Amino acid sequence: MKHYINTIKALFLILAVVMSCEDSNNVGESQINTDPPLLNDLDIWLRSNFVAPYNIDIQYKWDINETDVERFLHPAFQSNVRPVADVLLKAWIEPYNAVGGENFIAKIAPRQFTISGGFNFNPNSPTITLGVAEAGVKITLFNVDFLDFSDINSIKEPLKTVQHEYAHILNQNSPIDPAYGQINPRDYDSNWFNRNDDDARELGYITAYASSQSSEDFVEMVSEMLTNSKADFDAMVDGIESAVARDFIRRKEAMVVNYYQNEFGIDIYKLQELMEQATQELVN
Amino acid sequence: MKTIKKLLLLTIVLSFTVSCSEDDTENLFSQAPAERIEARNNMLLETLTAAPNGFKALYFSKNNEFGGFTFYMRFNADGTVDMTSDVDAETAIATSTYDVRFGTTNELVFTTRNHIQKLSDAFAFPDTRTGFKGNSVFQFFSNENDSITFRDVRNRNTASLVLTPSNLSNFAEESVSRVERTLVSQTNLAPTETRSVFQILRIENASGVTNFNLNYNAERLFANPLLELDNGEVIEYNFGVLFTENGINISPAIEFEGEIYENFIFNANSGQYVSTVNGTTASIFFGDEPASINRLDVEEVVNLGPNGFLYRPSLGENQLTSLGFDALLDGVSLNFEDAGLGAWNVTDVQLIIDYESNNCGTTLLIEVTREEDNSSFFGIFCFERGAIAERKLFLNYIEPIQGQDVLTENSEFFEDLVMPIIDFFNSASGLAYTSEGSFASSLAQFSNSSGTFASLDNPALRVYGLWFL
Repeated sequence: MKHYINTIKALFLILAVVMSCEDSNNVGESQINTDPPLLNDLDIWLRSNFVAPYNIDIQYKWDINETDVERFLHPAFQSNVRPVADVLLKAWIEPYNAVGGENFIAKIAPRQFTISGGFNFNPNSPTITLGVAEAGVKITLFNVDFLDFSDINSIKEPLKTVQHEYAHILNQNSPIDPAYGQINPRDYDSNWFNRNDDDARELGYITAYASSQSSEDFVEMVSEMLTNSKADFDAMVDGIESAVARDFIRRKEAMVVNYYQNEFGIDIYKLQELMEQATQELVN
Repeated sequence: MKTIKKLLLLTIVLSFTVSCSEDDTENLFSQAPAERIEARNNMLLETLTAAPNGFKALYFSKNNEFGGFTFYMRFNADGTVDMTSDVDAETAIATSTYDVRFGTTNELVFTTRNHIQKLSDAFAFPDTRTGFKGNSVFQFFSNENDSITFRDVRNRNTASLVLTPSNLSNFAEESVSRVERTLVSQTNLAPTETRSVFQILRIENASGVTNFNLNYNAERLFANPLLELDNGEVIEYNFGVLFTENGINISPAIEFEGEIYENFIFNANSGQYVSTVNGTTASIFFGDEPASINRLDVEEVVNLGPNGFLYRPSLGENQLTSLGFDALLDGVSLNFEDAGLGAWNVTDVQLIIDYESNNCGTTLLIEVTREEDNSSFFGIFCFERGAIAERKLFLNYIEPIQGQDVLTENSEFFEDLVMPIIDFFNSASGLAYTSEGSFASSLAQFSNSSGTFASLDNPALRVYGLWFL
């Protein structure tokens, strides 16, 4: 008897729920416009060469929310987008894929590059921000309109930024050995901008910014190694007067080499060679 | 207990049954929010692309710091926009992309770089690091009387972008010539070697004539008119200037004794910009003397005069030193050259004002440097005691101070060569002094007080310098 009563109660409840919404309309089509946007030739090329193979969006069309609203920034000339994209493709993506496997960049990469044409001046500071990496998914490149794509030193500027920020992203996937920061921690300084690169090298840091903290030190080492040929990098290090500083940097170099080999199976010197070759080809 | 349970069950069932029976909500809008946003975007896009010869756009990027500029824009259906402007001499039409989208509201976004981004270029003049503080994103505000008004999300209350039909018959041919004309007209208020440094805003109404010192900065296209009343009260305006084909628009408009002045027409004969409203006029022109000389400025020159005023070109440039004064120094260099002495430059001018005696306490030291070997020589020149009358400073030149030491041994020899500088301070009509706060130039900033002296004999001459101890 109790069983029947419970069944009747349940039927009442179901009936009540069903009847209570009997006047509701059916869900119709989406009210949001899902039409594809207008695509120009550049958009189509970017989709073919970045979005489809690597799931990387090159966002060059201005969206004020993609950068700091309080900074006075602006989009790049559209004519400068393809050249900077070529630099990324030839001198960063393709060499990494060649030594790390064809899907290396597709698997570990920022999902978005934002391109900004102008300089990003830091308020209350004598410095300019060249690039920003956010949460391992986005890299913003500034002052793209001021690059000379026929000058190797000019195109190495965004490459240094990308190598720097990408090394951060790799570190977020595979942390670096904390022992790296113990090689010469004494001269890390948040006021690093009061040093120039030469001063920093005599202290055992590859650049002035590398002397700010150990995590920046590591990625600056990666960036300098991958945007210079081995000969140029060696000349840079050998030109340091302080033997102690040279030793510091060589020990850091060895840790970078081991990190790439052990964590990703990449011979960084081979990567360095391919990147230098690709960069030379971009300007020749 | 069972009765309570039954009642409870009945209550639940009834509540379900009747809970949605009154589902008749009132619809304030016939469309859903997403549809209304889309419709507004489409309306804006259609309006922009419907004009085959585009729009004239007047853009004030921040009217409490800068003036505005004129753009001509033609929006194409393929997402591109053709544009020219009078921001600088590069007036050729450029094509970039734009988008109409929903951000914080319906927005017009110039998505790739074109003329309009010259105002958000942080590396450009007038302020390196911030430029004209412009933007690429504009919030749609209204579309009334053939004017489409946008605002800037960052400079919400100080920026405006207003589009009106261009009324051109051929965008490509006519837009560039239009902006080139307004670009040239920007020079109507710009300083030259011979123009007076005293720019005046004059308002004439039933109460009489009121003159303001315009305090116009041609780089910023910005004015800060000031009037000090006899009771010490100061009336002050701040506005940006935008040059149109036949005059100027100012933003924000100024209101004086109930009348609002915004649009000024250029009178080529008088060289004046005139706004006529209900029988009253506001005019902007170059005057022979300042509209007023500030009482506090006069007190400062009295207090600081004995310390010494320094103009040293190597400390950097400041636009308060007039082009006329630069030309005067060039003239001194020319005097040396004409005398067969080769290339020399004035490298220091120091004025010490003694208000007490006529015993050469008021002196003008001039240092000149020979380019050949970078050797410096000096001359010192004596004036009568400084006198203040009608808030003007009067210095009366006496003679060179000739002596045997390094500072005075060449005074007589140099006198004729540097006479234009002596004449400047010897202005029979007096000198007008303004206090300019701490010293700032293109190269340096010091805590020293700074100021300007302007000649009332020749109002094209003004020098900016610092006071030293």
